[in-house]
Amino acid sequence: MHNLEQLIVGWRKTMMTAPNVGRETLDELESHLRENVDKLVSSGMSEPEAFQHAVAQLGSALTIASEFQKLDQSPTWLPVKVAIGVGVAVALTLVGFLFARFEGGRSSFLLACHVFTVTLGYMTVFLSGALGICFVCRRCCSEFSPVRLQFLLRVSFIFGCFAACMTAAGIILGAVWARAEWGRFWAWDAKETGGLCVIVWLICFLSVHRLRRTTARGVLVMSVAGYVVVSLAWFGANLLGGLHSYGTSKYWWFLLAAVICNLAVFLVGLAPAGWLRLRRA
Amino acid sequence: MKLEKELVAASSVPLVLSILSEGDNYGYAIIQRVKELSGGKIEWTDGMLYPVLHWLEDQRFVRSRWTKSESGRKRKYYSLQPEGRGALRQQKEQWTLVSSTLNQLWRPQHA
Repeated sequence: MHNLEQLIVGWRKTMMTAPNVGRETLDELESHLRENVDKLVSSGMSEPEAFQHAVAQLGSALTIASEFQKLDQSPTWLPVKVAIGVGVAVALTLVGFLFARFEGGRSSFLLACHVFTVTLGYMTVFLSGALGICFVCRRCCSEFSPVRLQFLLRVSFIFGCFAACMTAAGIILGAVWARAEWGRFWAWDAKETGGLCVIVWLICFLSVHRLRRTTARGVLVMSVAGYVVVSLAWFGANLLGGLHSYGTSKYWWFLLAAVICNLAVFLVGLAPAGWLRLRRA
Repeated sequence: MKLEKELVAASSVPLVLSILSEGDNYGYAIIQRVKELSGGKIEWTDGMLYPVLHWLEDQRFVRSRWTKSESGRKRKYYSLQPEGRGALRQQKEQWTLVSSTLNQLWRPQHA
């Protein structure tokens, strides 16, 4: 039996290389493989022989991946479309606003680039968090199909990568600008530290994405917590004051309410799928 | 006689929906049922079934749940949903129409 387990571990490793085949799908395929191996062994085959036969019947990683690829033609989930639309609209508005400031001589080119990249990075984390919230809300009523979960996992990873690149570029540009204007690269100001926290958060988020045992649900619920990190880094830092003089602490209650709401959604995301409908029933 | 690939693919949805209309079932058993019903003439690549099942789930025609069998093995069972029953009705009408049209065309001509 030990030998079969080793063969299955090896087969899983090969299958993991296939795109579009998520962990849950792999569990389902493994269950199928085991059923078939059992049947073949009971018909007189040796275990390794039965395993090879069952794998051939199931199809190669490439064949299965290409079959799942055909499912990608299903329409995109509406919140994803909305998130992309909002992201593009914010980027265009920001370009217009910063260009007007640059043209009016109220901002240097470097500062405008810093504001643009950091805002876009933070906004992408917000949008990823918004997708996580939509996911949690919808999941209260019914579970997502594996196809949709795989799609959302990919979207979440792309959002995470984009946010990390933008935020990192923004922090570097900000540091270069600060060296020219304030005479130092880094001063552990509240906003700067906040930016660093966002980068650390995004590295953790993307690392979790790459872990073998991560589920789509885990990652999407985790993205809700990203909302809290960016809220505190972006607006929470204003409460502490510092070199960034545009900060205001007037809306602390709004920030607190947003953080509490997000933590509540995060906890709801830990509940089993369809719990709301089950309660009603 | 071996069925053409295109026909196997086209018939997969009505076959799966029809089998699930008999009761909840899981992937391996669905394949065995198709083999049994067709006398082994319709042979699917096992891996082909799961994208079909996931597509049906995405369309909300079926719903899935993991359960443990008596032997302790985890199995993912699929159950037909009201939307799936509607889709199956449509599929039945379409396939019956194609079948009856072909039957009329291929009926032996009496002199």
